[in-house]
Amino acid sequence: MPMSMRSSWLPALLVGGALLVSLTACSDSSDVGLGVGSGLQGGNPSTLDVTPDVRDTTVAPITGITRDSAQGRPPAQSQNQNAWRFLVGSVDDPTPGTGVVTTDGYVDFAGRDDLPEDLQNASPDALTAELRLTTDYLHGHSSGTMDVEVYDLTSEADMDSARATASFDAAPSPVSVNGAQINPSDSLVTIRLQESWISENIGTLRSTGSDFEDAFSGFKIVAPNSEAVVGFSSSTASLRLRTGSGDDATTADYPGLKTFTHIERTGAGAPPPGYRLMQGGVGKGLAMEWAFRDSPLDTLESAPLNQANIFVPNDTSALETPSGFERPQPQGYRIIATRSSGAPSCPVVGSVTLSDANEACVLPLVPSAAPASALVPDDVARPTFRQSFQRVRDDQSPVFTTFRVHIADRENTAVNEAATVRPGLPTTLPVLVPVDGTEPGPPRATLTVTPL
Amino acid sequence: MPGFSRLLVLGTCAAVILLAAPSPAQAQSNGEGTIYSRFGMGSLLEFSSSQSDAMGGGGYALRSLNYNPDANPALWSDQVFTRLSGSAAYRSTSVEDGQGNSGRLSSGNVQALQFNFPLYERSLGVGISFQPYSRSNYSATRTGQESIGPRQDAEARYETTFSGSGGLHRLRGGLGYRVNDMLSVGATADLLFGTLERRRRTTWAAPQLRNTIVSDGVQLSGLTSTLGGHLALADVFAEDDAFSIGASVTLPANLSGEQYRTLDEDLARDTLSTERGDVTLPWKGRLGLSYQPNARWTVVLDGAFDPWSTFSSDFSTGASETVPSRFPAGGPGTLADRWRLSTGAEVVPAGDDQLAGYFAQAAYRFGGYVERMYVRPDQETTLYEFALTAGISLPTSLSGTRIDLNTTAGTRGTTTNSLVRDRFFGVSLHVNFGERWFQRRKLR
Repeated sequence: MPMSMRSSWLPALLVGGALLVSLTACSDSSDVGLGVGSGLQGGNPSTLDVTPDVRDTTVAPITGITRDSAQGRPPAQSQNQNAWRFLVGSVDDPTPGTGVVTTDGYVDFAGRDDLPEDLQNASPDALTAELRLTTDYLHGHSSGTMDVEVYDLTSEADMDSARATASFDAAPSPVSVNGAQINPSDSLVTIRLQESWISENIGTLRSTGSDFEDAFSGFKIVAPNSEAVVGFSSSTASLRLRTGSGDDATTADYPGLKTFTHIERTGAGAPPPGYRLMQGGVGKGLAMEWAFRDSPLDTLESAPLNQANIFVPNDTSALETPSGFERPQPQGYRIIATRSSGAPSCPVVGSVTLSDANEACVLPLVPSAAPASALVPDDVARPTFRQSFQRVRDDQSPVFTTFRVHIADRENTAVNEAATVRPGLPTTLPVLVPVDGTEPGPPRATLTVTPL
Repeated sequence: MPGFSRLLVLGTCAAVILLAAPSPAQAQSNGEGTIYSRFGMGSLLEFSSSQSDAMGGGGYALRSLNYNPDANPALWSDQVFTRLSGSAAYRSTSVEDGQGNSGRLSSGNVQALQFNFPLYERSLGVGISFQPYSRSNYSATRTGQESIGPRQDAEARYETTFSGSGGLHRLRGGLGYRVNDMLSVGATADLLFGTLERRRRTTWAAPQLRNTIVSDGVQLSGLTSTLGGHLALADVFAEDDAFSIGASVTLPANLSGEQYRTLDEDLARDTLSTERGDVTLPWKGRLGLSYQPNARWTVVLDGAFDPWSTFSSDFSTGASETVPSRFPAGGPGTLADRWRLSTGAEVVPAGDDQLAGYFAQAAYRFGGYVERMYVRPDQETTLYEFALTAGISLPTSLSGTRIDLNTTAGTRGTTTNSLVRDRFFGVSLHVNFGERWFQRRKLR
């Protein structure tokens, strides 16, 4: 048989056969047959809450920032400096356990490149100086005025990244005018400085740039006997020098350079029954530990994990808010987890390295969950628990030993690395976290698993 | 045809078929789709030749120059052509239960790849074949919904799909020897190997939830052997008739392997546990009769018996979550002795007339079988399979080469006792390529 004749049917056959074989297995899969024999069972997912052991922890937060040094920092802190604040005043929040929180604000100013001629030539007697502060935070009674006092710092203060427990020496006598007051509800407040201060510092005020900054150490601002804590924007704080009045006035503003808030608490009692207290500023938070070798986690070592979340609720309904008392809700939280020895690095489980030395990882949170809760999303919580299960199965410790939760008041931002490591703004806000109950329930990990 | 060209054609044919051949990996996505393939070693697949396939599936005594039946190696002795055969099939299975619920599965698969050649024409022949031995392919789905999230205030819908895949394959090689005009004998060495896997896949409608796949599999391999005999008698009931008796016995096969349980799939597959073990497959007995009263008609009657009640397995029984679930599913108690009776006939209207019309030279076949299935899922109800078969064999201008088109339709199982009834329909295409090869032509 000639090859040409054979080739007429052979390819058709081959294609036909291949077509039969390659008919994709299609199915109209139904529940028919599930009960045949011993039956097809299992595979039903279930969701369970696993509560951790919770204890109190206190870590003084960073409340100091230097604007210039922030320029070379990661985006998180550079962005944060625009929202940074310093606090002045004291508040006795009616929430049990919060005590009286007293804050002292510190602010330093940058030198100007030049000074208007009118100000250079004016005599000290013809000059006035005032602090101009934009309010962006109020915790406490909003009615009435606050007495404020401004003191000279006696030496250069290293405010950058200073923690709230730090303090800096100030002169014993105030440099603000006697009886200086501010109204906390005003968006802009001014605190006038004494004429004698101007006279004593006229040389410094007329210097520029680093000469000014070397000679001027900054102010400490206190509000004795106040009933509220007021927050001032660090980025818009300024020291204004003025001569003349009305349309003939000449002014020069020295922009804020460094700010810091010293925070301390007195008279703290116990939180309400059934709650644990987190409190901003004083750094009071919660430390959570899950017992992987106890029930129910010990039964899930091999169970496929479909979804996981870590959830720390804020029971806002439990906070008493008297009339005229202002208490904003914190706009965020921060969860820092401590790695076990030999555990995978932070990025492996979706977290961000905070400190290699301290084995600390920051867990990204769902921004929209605040202020009602601190919520670790599935793409972080699931690998954390999954790897922990695997490690425990191999007789190792879980990925993280401790999860520390703190208030981190900040703008609502997207979940990304920069936002995750960003520290919270100085605050004095309390949060009550239930320790039991059903709604909103205690801190917990919610795991959806499909049992093997 | 020059030898090289011949080799090229055969090679091309083999390559295309091999591309879709039942390699262990590819075969796992194919199958006939019955929930009963979840039990035992899966659905047992027997294919001897396309001729016997259309005549009820037996043909243990069916001798033909155009085919080299695989079921009885004694039939390999009577070869003239070097032969390469490939078969592909498509099967659709609809299933219903006692409540009237129904589902459907359909797929394509390679039935067999066979290569035979005579060492001595019509005296000593060699056969090599590769074909599926069993196949697991089923799918059943349950749906549900679960509250998710920290507040458990959202309902997420999920599906749990139970499916089976894979199967055992058989690589057979052997010889058939014609002792004399009446008696032929044959023997093969059979390598059985493959992976049977049962999967439970939980998939969520909500994309943020991770799907789960738990697989219980067993990898097995082992050797066995088949011995066959064939007795050919002439002028038994009438002048020029031919009566044959064929029988074969496959020895028990001891398969060793590893059972495993894994989580997830592909590169992310996490092995939870493994366990080594052995299973012993029963012996198989085959007996067939073939009668050719004349050149036009051929009639066959065949029987098979496999004592699957003697099956044994020392794999564990799934004592904990991480241990693979029991193999075989339901335990050896779900297996029962299998028997099969089949009969069929072939008619070639032209008989020996080489000058008759094309369709008169075609072979028309039909048959049927009844089988007591070797699986008994509830350990009580005996299941049967009934089917009718038919086919047409088209001659080609190439002597020794035929193209066969077969079909089958049948039913298996019952809807009582929470069982299901399958109704299946299939078609298959077979290419039987034969040429004289490796033989020195005599000078005339």
